This record gives sequence, structure tokens and C-alpha cells, in this order.
Amino acid sequence: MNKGINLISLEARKIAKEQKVKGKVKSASFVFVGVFIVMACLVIGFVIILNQKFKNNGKKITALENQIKALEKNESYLVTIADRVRHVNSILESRKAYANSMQDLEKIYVEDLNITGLDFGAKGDMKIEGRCAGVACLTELNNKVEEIKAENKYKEIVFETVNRTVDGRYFINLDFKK
Amino acid sequence: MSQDIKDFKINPEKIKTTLEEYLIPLVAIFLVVLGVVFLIIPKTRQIQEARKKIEKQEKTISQLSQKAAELSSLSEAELYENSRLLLDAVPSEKDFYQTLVMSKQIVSENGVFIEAFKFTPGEVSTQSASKKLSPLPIEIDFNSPFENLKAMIENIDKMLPLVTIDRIKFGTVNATESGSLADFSGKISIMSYFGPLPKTLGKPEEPLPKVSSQDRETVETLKNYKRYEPLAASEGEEVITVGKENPFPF
Repeated sequence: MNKGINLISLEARKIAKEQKVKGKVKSASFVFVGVFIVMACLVIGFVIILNQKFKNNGKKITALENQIKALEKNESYLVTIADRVRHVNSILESRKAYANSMQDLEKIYVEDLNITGLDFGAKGDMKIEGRCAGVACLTELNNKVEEIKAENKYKEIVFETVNRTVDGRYFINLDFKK
Repeated sequence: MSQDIKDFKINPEKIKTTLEEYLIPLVAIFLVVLGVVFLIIPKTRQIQEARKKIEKQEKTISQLSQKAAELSSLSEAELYENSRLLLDAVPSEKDFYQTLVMSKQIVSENGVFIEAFKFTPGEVSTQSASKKLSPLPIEIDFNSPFENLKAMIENIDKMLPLVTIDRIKFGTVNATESGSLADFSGKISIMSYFGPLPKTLGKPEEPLPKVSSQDRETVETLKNYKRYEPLAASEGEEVITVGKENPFPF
């Protein structure tokens, strides 16, 4: 077995090892302190910048709030408009179609027809009771009913009853269903 | 052996040097660790909190800027006109006297004869606590030729304040001379509406209420409706404001 001969004395080797450890400790401490200083500077710098930004933002918010307060009148008008429009829409949606019923009643009116009873339903239904003087009146009434039927405004239009009297008059019951 | 013990001497210089060489870096490292624990970590948390606060502030700034820009772009005169129009359409206060006068006016203007009035004012209050619309029903016993009744029903649909016809109940239908429709009599139930105004404007950062193009169309339609103006208040009548200042200039 080949064994090398170390000519450096044990003391000198110990000193060299000690020096190496000392160097490492020293370097580590320099690195730690250096990194710490850099980090501390960055952190403190950030804190200062963010605080400044927080203060500036606070000032901006106050300025904007004041600007909005100065325009409070416009906002109150707008809030009123939005609120009233909502109510207006709900009223308009709840309206019943009486005006249309009146128009249709006018459309079917024929000479020699006497309306004796009338009822308007909320959804636009209409019931008419009447008396036709003769067959010509009844035919004309039927033609006008057909015209309204063609407009498809009603689901069905029904002659509920048609009664002829001995004197040639016709009593009718007409039902317009929506 | 005894010779070795004799030779062993405490060298203060060596100890001092060793301390300087080891202790100072170790103390420095210890101080750095303390600094990290008591300075860097708390400050980092502070930074995170500050960033959150700033993000929140920036969101608020963005909302406020948008709101301020929107408010500045609106025309005060136009807003006033539209809000007046809409308050004419749906008044904020339940005023049954005005409603009575208005109903009578509509009916008589269209040549419909009023035989009787039935009015149910309900709770007598200027402003209801509820946000909902409160209806004010009026029942009119009428007698009218067909044409006038038709005109009245059509005009009711195009007038302000907005009213709705709840029911028409025909009573007698009197035959007239040939070629014209009968004279009608019956009862017509009309609903007039009131709704209190919102009491507060909300927080400054809250967005403005949206008025859609459909809502604008509704407003334009209402402009063509006939307005029945309320009777003017008598001169010298002082308006006394009490309590918290009303943000609504009405």
C-alpha cells in the first residue's frame, strides 16, 4: 500500500483549517448583512412609496367625491328618472285593451243593428247582445265579423245564439274571445 | 506531562483575536436574523395590506371617475325636463283632490256625462313608506254617446298623470236612430297611481342607475301625452323644510 508523506506539520494544517472556517464565517456574515441591507432598503422604500400612494389616492378620492357632490342635482334627477320610468313601464304593461275593443265595436256596427248589451273583459274580450232588423243586417254583420276574424286579433269569434222572431228580427249574442 | 501543563498559558491576545474573528460575524448574522423576524417580515405584511388598500382605493377612484364623468356629461336642463315629465306621469304624492279634479276634467272634456263619482282615497298621506306604486281608484257612473266614450277611452290612454281603466261595466244601452251607435251608460273604474321618490342617493362610489334606450323611448312617448297640470299653489304660501335635507330638488 502506497502511503504519501505529508510534510506540512499538524499545527500548520490546523491553522490552515481554522483560517478556512474563519473565512467562511466572515463571508457568510458579509453576505447576510449585505442581503439584509438591500432587503431592508427595498422594504422600507416600498413602505414609503405605498404610504405616499395611499395618501395621494385618499386626496384623489376626496376630490372626486366633492366633484360628485357638486353634481348631486344631476344624480338626483337621474335617480328620479330611473325610478319613475320603472313605475311608468309597469303601469303601461298593466293597461287593458279597452280602446281596441271600442274600435272593434265600431268596426262591426251595421245599420239596423241595435246593441242591447255589452261587456268588455280585461284581456280584450267582448260580448255583444243585439237585435238585427232583418236578414240583410245579419248578413252584413257576419261579413264584418269575418273581416275582424281575418285580422287574427281574437282567438275565436263565436255567434253564441242567433234567434229569429216571427216578425223577422234576429236576436244575436256575439262573443269575441282573446 | 507536568512539563506540558507548565507550558500551557492563557493567551488573552489569542482569545481576543478569536472572538473578533468569530463573534462579530456571528453576532452580525444573529442581528440579521432578528432584523428579518422583527423588521422585514412585519413590513412585508404591512406592504401586502397597503397594496390591498391601494387596490381598493384604485377601484374606488375608477368608479368615482366614471361616475363623475357620466354626471358631467349629462345635461341638467334635459334631466330636469324629463324628471318633471315623469313626475307628472307618476306623481310622488297621493293628492286625491287633484285626481278628482283631473278625472272630472277628462270626462267632461270628451263630452261624457257624469252621473256619479265614487272615490276611494284610502290612507290619507302625502308619501307612503312603501316603494311600491299605490293606486287610487275612481269609479265614474257615465252616460255617453258611443263616439264620446270611445274618444274618452282613447284619450285616457294618452294623458298624464298615467291612469289605467280597470273595468268598464255597461248598464243600459239605449238604441238611437238608425245609422249611429247606441248611447251607453255604465260604470268605468279608473286607477290613478302614486309612488314615493327614493329618499337617498346612495354612496358616492355606487354606480348611477341605468336608463336604457327603451326607457328613453318611453320618455319620448310620454312627451306626446296630454298633461293635466295640478292646480298652482296660492301665492305667498311658504314652503317650510323640516328634518334632514332632501337631496331631491322636487
